[in-house]
Amino acid sequence: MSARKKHSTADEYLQYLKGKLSNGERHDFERGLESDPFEKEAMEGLETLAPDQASEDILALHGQLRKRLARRRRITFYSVAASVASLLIIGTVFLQIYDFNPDKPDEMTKQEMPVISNEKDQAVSAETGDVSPEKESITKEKTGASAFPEADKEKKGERNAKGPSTKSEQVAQAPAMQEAREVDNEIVSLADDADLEVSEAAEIAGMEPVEEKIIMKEAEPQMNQYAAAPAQRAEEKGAPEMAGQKRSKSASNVVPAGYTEDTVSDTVLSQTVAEPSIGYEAFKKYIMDHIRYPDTETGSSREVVILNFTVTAGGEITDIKAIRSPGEEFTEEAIRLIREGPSWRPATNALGTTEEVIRLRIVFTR
Amino acid sequence: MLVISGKHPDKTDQELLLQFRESGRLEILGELYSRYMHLVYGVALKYLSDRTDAQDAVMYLFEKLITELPKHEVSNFKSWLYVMTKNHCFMEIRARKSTEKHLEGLKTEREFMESDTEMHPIDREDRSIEDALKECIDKLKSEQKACIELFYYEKKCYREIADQLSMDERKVKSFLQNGKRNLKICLEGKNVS
Repeated sequence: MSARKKHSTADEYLQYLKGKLSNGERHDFERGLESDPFEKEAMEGLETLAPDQASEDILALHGQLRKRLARRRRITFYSVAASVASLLIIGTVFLQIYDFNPDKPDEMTKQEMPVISNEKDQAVSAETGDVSPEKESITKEKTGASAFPEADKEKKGERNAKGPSTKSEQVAQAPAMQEAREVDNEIVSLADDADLEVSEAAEIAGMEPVEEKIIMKEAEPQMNQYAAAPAQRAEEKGAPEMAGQKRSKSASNVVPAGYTEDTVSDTVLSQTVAEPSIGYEAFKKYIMDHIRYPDTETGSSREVVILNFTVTAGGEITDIKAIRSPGEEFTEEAIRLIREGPSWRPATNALGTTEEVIRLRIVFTR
Repeated sequence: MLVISGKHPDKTDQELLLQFRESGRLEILGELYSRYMHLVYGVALKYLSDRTDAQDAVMYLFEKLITELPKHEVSNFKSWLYVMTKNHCFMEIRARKSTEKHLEGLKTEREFMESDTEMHPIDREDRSIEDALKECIDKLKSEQKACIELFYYEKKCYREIADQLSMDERKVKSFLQNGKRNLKICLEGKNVS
């Protein structure tokens, strides 16, 4: 008994369950169970299965855990691969931009030139928009376009701050751009590379005002909010500053979306069950100290009353009902214990406190 | 025979825990968890009474450990895991109740009256309160007394006691449990526990 270990291995459990231990070994093992409620409850669960089932299940669980550990490694590998790929794509984009700027002038009017060449400078492009409004449709596009470099800048800033995650966002945009490509072939030739910034694509699209709207609408659901919001704004003829504000809002909306999983698991974790305000241990002691075995002729040495009651969101105890009881006197005593007992802390979920039905088992011994 | 051992069988829980905290390497946590996976599974089986649900719980709890461990100071991994496991099971049962509305049966009850996190005096290695303990055992009802004596003093296993007293093994366990509870009350009355 002094040689008892800190924990029993799965193998010892199975040996025990299969009856392969001598009586002395069984006793030692059981002493371990008696001294540790975790072990004891685990045995209560495991002995509900046939020993073969138990060992099969435990083995399967170890297999699942190994798989789970391997999965994480693969994800790490994929994300490394993904960032390498996006770096390559970004590199290609820069090359392409340099390649295709010289070809542009033939296709473009002079007013539109600065928009492209000054794409990083919001002030200049906005000015261009204001100074040379030819047709309404073009102005429209320009207002839209002038807003984009801001998005561009914002994105770049974010990229500096966040590094890889922004890259992956760009990669995520790729399918949306492909969508746009399918919609209009003319756009394809210009917005060819999937990794062009959305803003650039929109500017280029601006040269074909009519088609642009259609494309934006088609692509909208697939694009993230960077792309969707400016598209609407272009239609609304919104002022650039306004647009900027709105965008920074929408940009911040994008960020949490990436963390949905965390948020969800946090929500789950913020749930708590209703509990005696002094904790179950102390509550149990309170019950033990205050329980009176009713003065009855009937009743054996051990009687159990099972009570259901509701702990309201405000922590009140209501609806006390006996689910099982050997008799009226026992029920009354059990109810008295709860009524006169310590207060209860209500259960909580993500939205605040909530009511919960508690089931308690109260054991009378004499 | 089932032999499951990690790469570092000699390391204590605490050492592995520290290593995980420092490196964040999941395989370290996996090794630590695999030491107790059968216990988590057993407890989940007890409360959820379903093999598939219990297996899901085991894997779910591992994910939860990954996110929860870094947030908490854990000095005793095993008992912390025990609490996590039970809480998860209770939560699961609650979720079921809301869908199934009605669920009877002892297995789903919160048997806090019967479980104890603190080690019972009789299970401790040092029995400095031996005399008081003996006195209290003498006051127990006959079956409880017999079971306690046979188990703790004659070092018999449940099965032998069941044979000897010609009763079911489950009865033996419950006499032991109730005997221990009464012992504790008695010892507390003597202010030695």
